[in-house]
Amino acid sequence: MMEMIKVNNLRKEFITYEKQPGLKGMIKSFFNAKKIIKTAVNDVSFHINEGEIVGYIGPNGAGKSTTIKMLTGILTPTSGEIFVNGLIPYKSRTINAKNIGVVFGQRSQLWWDLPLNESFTVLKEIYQVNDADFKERMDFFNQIFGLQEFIKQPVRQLSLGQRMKADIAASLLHNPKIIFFDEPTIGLDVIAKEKIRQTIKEINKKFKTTIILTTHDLSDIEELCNRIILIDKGKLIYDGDVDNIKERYGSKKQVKFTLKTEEDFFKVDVINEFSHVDPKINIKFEDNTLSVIFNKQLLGIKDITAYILNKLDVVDINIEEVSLESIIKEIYKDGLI
Amino acid sequence: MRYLKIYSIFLKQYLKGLLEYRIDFLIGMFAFLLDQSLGIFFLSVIFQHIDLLAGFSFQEIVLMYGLSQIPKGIDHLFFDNIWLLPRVIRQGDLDRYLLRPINSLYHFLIVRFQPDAFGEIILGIILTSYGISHIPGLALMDYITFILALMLFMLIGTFIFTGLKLMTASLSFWLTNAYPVMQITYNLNQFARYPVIIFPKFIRLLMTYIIPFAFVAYYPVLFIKGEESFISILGELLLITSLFMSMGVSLWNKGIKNYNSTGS
Ligand SMILES: Nc1ncnc2c1ncn2[C@@H]1O[C@H](COP(=O)(O)OP(=O)(O)OP(=O)(O)O)[C@@H](O)[C@H]1O
Ligand SMILES: [Mg+2]
Repeated sequence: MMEMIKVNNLRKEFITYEKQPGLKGMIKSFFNAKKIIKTAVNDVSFHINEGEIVGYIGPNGAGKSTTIKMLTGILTPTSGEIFVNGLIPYKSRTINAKNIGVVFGQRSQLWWDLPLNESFTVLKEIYQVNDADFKERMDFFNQIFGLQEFIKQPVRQLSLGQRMKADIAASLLHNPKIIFFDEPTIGLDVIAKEKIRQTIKEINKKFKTTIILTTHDLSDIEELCNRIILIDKGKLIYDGDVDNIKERYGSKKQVKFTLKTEEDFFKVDVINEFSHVDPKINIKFEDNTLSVIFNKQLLGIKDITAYILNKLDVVDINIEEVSLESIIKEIYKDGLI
Repeated sequence: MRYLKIYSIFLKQYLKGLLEYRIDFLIGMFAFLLDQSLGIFFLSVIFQHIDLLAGFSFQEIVLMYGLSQIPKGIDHLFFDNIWLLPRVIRQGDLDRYLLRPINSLYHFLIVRFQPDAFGEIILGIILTSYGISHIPGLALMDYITFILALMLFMLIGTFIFTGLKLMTASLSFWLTNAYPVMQITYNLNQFARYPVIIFPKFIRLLMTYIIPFAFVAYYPVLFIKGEESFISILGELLLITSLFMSMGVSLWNKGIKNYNSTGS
């Protein structure tokens, strides 16, 4: 198995100077500015094999985009090692650029004033894509994204979603070995999102493309990634498969009871009944539905259903695995362990 | 080859845009020419009272004025994007130039083309032609050699402007706002329109040795007057521009390693 990306003890510090308010503060900070060191990425290490799709996730300000920028060579690390397909990105930036495709959902990388079709012509030259490949790929993009509807418009006139489609197509035009997607699905409608996910899967399968994806939409991760890397405040806190994180941290289950009458709800006291076994047991009540969220290692579904069915008139029962989203939410909130 | 092809796509696009905004473009150019002709008019008023200014005739001064406009205009036409570098860096927009497998500086320079510069170039050509056609006692061959020599000087002289802008703009990789530095040093080019010897010694030294705008027009006119040799001006121009450009490029390259992008 070939290692496409190697990151060892990667660190990035940003140095800023404290600005004090007011004229007095301004004069003071002019002569004696206080240096503030912000460690955006702190001793992060991971290795990614060819053909993997990895979800790189973490809360706002965790250091995701900073890591991606170092992998693409935009930023020079403060310390640590990076190899992308054997190259050190900040040293061999232009050669590395040939191997990678990049999308920053927050900011288009296309030329603002150039009509989209001209932008693709420029990219064709920049990446030296031959005519046959160019045609085939453009047809493919047209088919999935309907680019022809806005291909004559300058990029600055595109809607957010159109622009995202354009940026994604542009990142794929040269069929890169490695793709960095930093929030590629913001602003997209459900159908477009689905198409992008399918495209990512397809490309990954067909060309063994290695993909790193950051997103706040965890359904992207659930659908695409077999591995996630979780960072928080610059530090790596989890690296492993999605199923494993569910098993380790997602021992929660949710059972939903649809009741015949709303008032019935007051006839039970689930928390009181079970909190001595599972102290974190929780309930929600919404439109005739009572949901019980509990730890399946402490408490059996059987016990809960038996208790409820005994007391209430239940029309329907629904048992759900707790979603990745709520697991991640817990981790963001409370930290691991 | 590939680089030129990429540039031609951008250029084609600008020219299309130019057609779209041709009225604005023409008005802008007209305003510029009007503004500048006022300066020439005052010069002609001054010359009604004197025959020579620091040893230069009216025609020679006009020639100098014209010559100073051409390299400035060429730089303005092709390398105007450098002015935007401080903002581009501050807003994190340099990212896009670092993501492509082509030279980042080249990429940065070609994305803007400034047709306003045609005003300067046209004015420069008109004034230069006027000035040169009034030099007494020249044979046709002399005209041709002069024009060729001047064209070479103008072409090289352009890079005094470009190099200076690039050097000062690249300071933005370290400073929050390098724009004032750019502006102050660049504006010294206004002295290039007139013979440097009419200025105080300090400015004379500055214009010859530190920010040598005197080589843009003053020395070429001395060459036409037969007071300076072709080779020495060419040599000095090459020395200055290669120094400025290599400093500009190396500051850019160092700056990129220091580039911090932005948080979003
Ligand atoms: N150019 C910069 N200068 C100073 N600080 C920066 C810079 N870029 C990022 N930071 C800081 O580094 C930290 C990590 O930022 P980063 O953009 O990598 O977060 P992120 O994980 O991508 O967050 P989000 O989910 O909000 O996009 C933040 O605290 C941010 O304020
Ligand atoms: Mg980010």
